[in-house]
Amino acid sequence: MRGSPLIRLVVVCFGLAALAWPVAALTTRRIQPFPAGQPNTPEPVTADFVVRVTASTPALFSVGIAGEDSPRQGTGHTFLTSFRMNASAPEDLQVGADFPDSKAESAVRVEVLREGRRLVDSSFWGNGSIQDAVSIPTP
Amino acid sequence: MKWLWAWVFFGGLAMAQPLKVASLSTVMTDLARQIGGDRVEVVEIVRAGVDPHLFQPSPGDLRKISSADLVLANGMGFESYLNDLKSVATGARFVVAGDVVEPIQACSEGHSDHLDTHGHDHGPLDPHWWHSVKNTQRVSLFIARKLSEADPAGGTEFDSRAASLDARLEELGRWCRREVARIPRSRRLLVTSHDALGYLARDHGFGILPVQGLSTSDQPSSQGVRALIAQIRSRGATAIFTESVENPKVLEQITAETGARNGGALVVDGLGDGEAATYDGMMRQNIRTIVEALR
Repeated sequence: MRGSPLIRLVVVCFGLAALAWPVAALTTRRIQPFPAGQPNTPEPVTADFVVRVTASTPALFSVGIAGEDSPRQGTGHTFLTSFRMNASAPEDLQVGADFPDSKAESAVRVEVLREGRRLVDSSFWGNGSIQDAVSIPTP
Repeated sequence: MKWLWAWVFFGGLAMAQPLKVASLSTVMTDLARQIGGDRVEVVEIVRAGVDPHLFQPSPGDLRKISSADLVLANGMGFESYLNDLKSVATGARFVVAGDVVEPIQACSEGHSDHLDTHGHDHGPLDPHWWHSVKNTQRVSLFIARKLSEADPAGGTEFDSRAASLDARLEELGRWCRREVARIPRSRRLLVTSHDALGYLARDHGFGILPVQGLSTSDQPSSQGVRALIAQIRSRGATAIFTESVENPKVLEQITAETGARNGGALVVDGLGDGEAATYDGMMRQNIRTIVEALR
């Protein structure tokens, strides 16, 4: 190679730097702290889901979802409540019905409505107590 | 008259002989014992604690299988030696769970990096059917039917026990649903050692990212691990579940780089020890571990 030794030195340094850069980028990548449970997703669109539970005999109802500390409760033949949840991924409902005054087989009907449209219509049977979970279909 | 008594005596002895069942599946062993009761003698060929992926029947096992009336197997490629076994044990009737379950494709999320590294041919279907309680209900009824065909005199007993077992499994399914309902939908992601929980994921709305199977050896490629780490981070997985971890270094790297913690050990390839020695216990232990880690 001809030319000034200084220029040659500069060219060689540039060449080495060009080679070293990708190696350094790969080996010195800093570990980013991971925000647990918070994926990089935009704020979800929410919607109101109305839950209606109906029993064949008077019952003590409970309906809960993940993220709420305690289930919502009510008594009688029918229990009505609503949850504001992610519209595209609503939580499962934990449904319970206790029949303190009845030892015969009892039935519970669970309906979930969104904007008047019925998304879920499930029935369960049991003696004394019925405990189950209901998934809400996603669009 | 003596001949008549001898015939009755020896005939009675012959009738008292329990049905011989050889089992290649720890889960099916438990089901067959619950359904068969005293009328069935179940010989465990594959025992709890043995890695079924690495298991190969010995000559002694072949003798036991050949002398059995029924042979219980998972099918769907789980026992890579099953076809060879069928050609050897021609006298036995094979009861294969894969014949009655609704199969799903392995790697249900289309995780293209998954390659089989643990010594058996999974085939295109996921053979870990027992992680769906509904599948287990089907297989229980199938076993009851096959026992009845082999021992018609015990049919009523088998049917009765199968019905009781079905009711217990129904209750187990309800319990699993209620427990999983405690996990927010956004956190239902299972990062597991290998892709064995596809049926559980299907039933309960989990996504799956299997760690194992990133390469063809114990040292997965760095690109494969990086891709998995990127997926874990982007999808916000908070826990990684272990089993028989074949490459703890990879797991350590993944937990360090993603911040996800060790969610605990799952029993995925059949039954285990302690509570997991029964099907009911195994399911409850796994679900509890998952719920505690992700809720």
